[in-house]
Amino acid sequence: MTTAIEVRNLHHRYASAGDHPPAVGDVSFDVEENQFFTLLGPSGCGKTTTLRCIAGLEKPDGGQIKLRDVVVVSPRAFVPTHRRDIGMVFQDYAVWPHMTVFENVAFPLRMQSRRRLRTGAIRDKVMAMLELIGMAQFEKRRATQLSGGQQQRLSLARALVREPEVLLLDEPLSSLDARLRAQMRTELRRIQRRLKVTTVFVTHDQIEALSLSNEIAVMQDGNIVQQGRPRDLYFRPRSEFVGNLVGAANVIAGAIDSVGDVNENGERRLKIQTEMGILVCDDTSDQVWTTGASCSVLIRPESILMHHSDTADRENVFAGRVDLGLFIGESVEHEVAVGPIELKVKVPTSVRFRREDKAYIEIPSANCVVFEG
Amino acid sequence: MAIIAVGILAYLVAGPLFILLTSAVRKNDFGLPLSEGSYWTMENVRTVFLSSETYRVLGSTLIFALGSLLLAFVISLSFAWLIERTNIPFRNWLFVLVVAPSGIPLLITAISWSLLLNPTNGVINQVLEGTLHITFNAYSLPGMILVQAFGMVPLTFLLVTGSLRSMNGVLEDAAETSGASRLRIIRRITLPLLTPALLGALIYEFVNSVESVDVPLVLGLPSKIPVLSTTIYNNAHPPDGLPDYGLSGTYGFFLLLLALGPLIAYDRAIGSSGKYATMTGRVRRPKRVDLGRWRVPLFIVAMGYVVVSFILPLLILIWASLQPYYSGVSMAALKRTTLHGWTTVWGGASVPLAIKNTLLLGVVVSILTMCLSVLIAWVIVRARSRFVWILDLLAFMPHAIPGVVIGLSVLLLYLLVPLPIYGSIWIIVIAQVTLYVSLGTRLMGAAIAQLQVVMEEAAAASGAPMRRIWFRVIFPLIRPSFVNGALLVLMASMQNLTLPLMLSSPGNVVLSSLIWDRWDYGLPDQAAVLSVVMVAITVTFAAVLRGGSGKSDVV
Ligand SMILES: Nc1ncnc2c1ncn2[C@@H]1O[C@H](COP(=O)(O)OP(=O)(O)O)[C@@H](O)[C@H]1O
Ligand SMILES: [Mg+2]
Repeated sequence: MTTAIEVRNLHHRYASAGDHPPAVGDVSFDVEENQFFTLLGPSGCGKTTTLRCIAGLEKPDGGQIKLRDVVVVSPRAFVPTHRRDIGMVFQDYAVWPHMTVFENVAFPLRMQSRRRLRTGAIRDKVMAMLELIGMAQFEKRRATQLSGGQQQRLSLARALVREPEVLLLDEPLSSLDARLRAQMRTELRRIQRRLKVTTVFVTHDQIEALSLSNEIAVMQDGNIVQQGRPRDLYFRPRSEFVGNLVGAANVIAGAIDSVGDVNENGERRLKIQTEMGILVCDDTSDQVWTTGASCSVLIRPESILMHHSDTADRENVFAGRVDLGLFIGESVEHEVAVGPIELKVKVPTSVRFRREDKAYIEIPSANCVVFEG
Repeated sequence: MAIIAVGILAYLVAGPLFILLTSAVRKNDFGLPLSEGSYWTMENVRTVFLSSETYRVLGSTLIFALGSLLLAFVISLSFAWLIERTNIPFRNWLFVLVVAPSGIPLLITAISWSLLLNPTNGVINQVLEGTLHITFNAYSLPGMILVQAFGMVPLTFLLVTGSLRSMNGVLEDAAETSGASRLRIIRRITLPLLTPALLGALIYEFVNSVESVDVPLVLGLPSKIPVLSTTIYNNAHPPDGLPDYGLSGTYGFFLLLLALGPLIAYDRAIGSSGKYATMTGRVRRPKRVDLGRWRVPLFIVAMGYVVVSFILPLLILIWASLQPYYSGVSMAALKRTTLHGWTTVWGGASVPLAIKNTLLLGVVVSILTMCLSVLIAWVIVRARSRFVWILDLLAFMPHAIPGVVIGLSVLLLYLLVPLPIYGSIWIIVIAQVTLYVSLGTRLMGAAIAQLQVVMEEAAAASGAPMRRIWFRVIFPLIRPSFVNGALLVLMASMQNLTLPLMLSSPGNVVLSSLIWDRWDYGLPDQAAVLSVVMVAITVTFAAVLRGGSGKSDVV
């Protein structure tokens, strides 16, 4: 596989930001060809800035960016945006209100100076693109006469029409309502697969990130704190911050009681003293644990099991009381009090509990993630 | 109360218009066009529409208006771009300096340029003559265009810069990521997006430039270059002989058509199509262009403009006010420096009366206009009646009617109507309220539209009657806009020359008409002294206005 985008030690501080910390501290990552790469992080962590640096809309203070073999940003070189082989979709669509749908999509083709297209060729390409996103019938409409979802498709078509090397997406779904967002998510993935275009996607929404990406980089305060495949991030977050960002989580504070030996899977059994009692966890990290050190344990609500009666033969079973049950259709979300701790537990609808019911909570040791501190 | 306001508006706008139209086709050989014994005639219409003189006047009016418009827009757009979109140094100061001349009445600008550029002893001409052996005659169409353009730049700049600032930078970013170079972005994205705002400003300023009498009187009359506004004025106030109101009214009608045409075209092209409906979404401020090594040279050019258009005219006024008779700048003239003008100008009753009248006019007009505007705007915004559009149109009309036409119509109306206000300051008050009510309505309409209806409904549900809702809820909430609008109208009223001149008589002299009087009479030193006094007053008000509101991107 070849590397389509290479970002090295990117650093940027806005001139107008005064003595605030830099928008991007020190960011490096590679995106393989045809991959869907996501920058995930809370608002203000520097995702947009990073993306705008790749696009050339911001000139970073430091670092190097390569698109394919072309160095577009380095201390010596800076390729202006319109000479970079990119397509970009903006958060609020940015379709031009003074042009029709057709003209919006044709614009990038008309801007190509090296290989000028004839009118017929432009028409064919634009119509093929509009066909692909299902908007051919709106060709003659003004961009202002489209709904939000249609504007979003239009701006996607405009970004893709000149078949760019790299597609940059800045929270393209965040302005849509929930139902439309889910639909566009699927469609985006399908189109990206079909066209095989290397994509950098920026979002603060964990579902978008998990469902669309080949690779996710989680950003916090201008830096990448963890990078990996969606499953790794979800099941093996390396910090409480990442764990919470990619999905709902219970985080329980405790202290190391004892450290077991490494088994054949490379796991160690940790016994952790918590306010619920002793919790046994399978630790896969290469962290060095010392007895008595404080730590916290992350458990996903859906990996917890709920029983009506005690199953004393299994490990990590705790008695609790149901405080709240929220029926949300595909499952039920319970709040269960175990001693002083409120646990979020998500179970199939077939498992039925009432408020105030006694419940036995089972936490499989393989589903616990342990962090320092 | 609202109904009274609507009635007043209808009276203010419709009455004069009716008189104007009929005066063009009624004639009385011995008196006023509509007085007893008048008869129907097409004579005036024939005279005006068939004479070649009319088309000569029309030609010079168009050249004057379009020329000054073009120049003012080129200058304003350049400044707007430099200040909003580049890293030119001292941007905030440049902004203030470009807007500052808005405190100087156009009449005074014209007088100072006559002092700078007249062919015999204009200061700039003295310098040009001495070095390059050329002179530039201010008493010519190019001279008039130049000075009118200088006068229009502050407001044009404010209008343009506001829209440039509020443009969404992401739309330009999107073009850049589509492969468009900077020049292409300006041509294909920025300018088309600004078009509605630019056209709006263009038309507004077009009406301003065809209606104003200041520059054509000072610079056009000496060399007999008539434009429509001065033709109307001359027929109503001939230097000798009897006024011909019928002819004047017909010319007024002609000018009305000229101003209405573009306005209607604009409305049809943009107002209704929804083509430029604003798009929602987060707005990102556009990036500033790095001027690189052009940064300092461009700044020097910009400052050069400020010196020529603002500082030089002020200096020459002060100079002229210190001379017994104006004869350019020289060592000999320096020796003649005297405070004679400053001490003698106060003699006689006219100067104190003019200052008193000016302040009275400004205060009364601004208060009346804004009170009326608030009521009308509230009706327009809140009323659920199908007939609101009529009111909207009525309130909008004065915006399209040139001031000189309003002046003429009001003059005709109160010559006929037996109200004892002809010749008093109150006739100017009525005319100015008519002229400014559309500006006031627009300002207050915007303010009231932002006010949520639930605020009023909550007050009503709390048991407050309408009167108390007005005083306890509505007014406190819109007060900043109200004060801002009142100050704007106050400024405009004090600077306005057209209406005081059209409606002048000895008893209602104000500063602007007095300055013109002294200048026309051949007393440049006194005109200069009064100009300095007036600039001091208006610039103070302008400073209060800009300082108080900070961001008055109105009109
Ligand atoms: N044009 C700008 N000028 C100054 N500061 C900015 C600008 N754009 C973003 N920032 C700041 O930089 C930081 C990162 O912003 P951004 O990259 O937009 O974050 P994200 O896209 O992750 O929400 C934020 O603190 C933001 O306030
Ligand atoms: Mg962002």
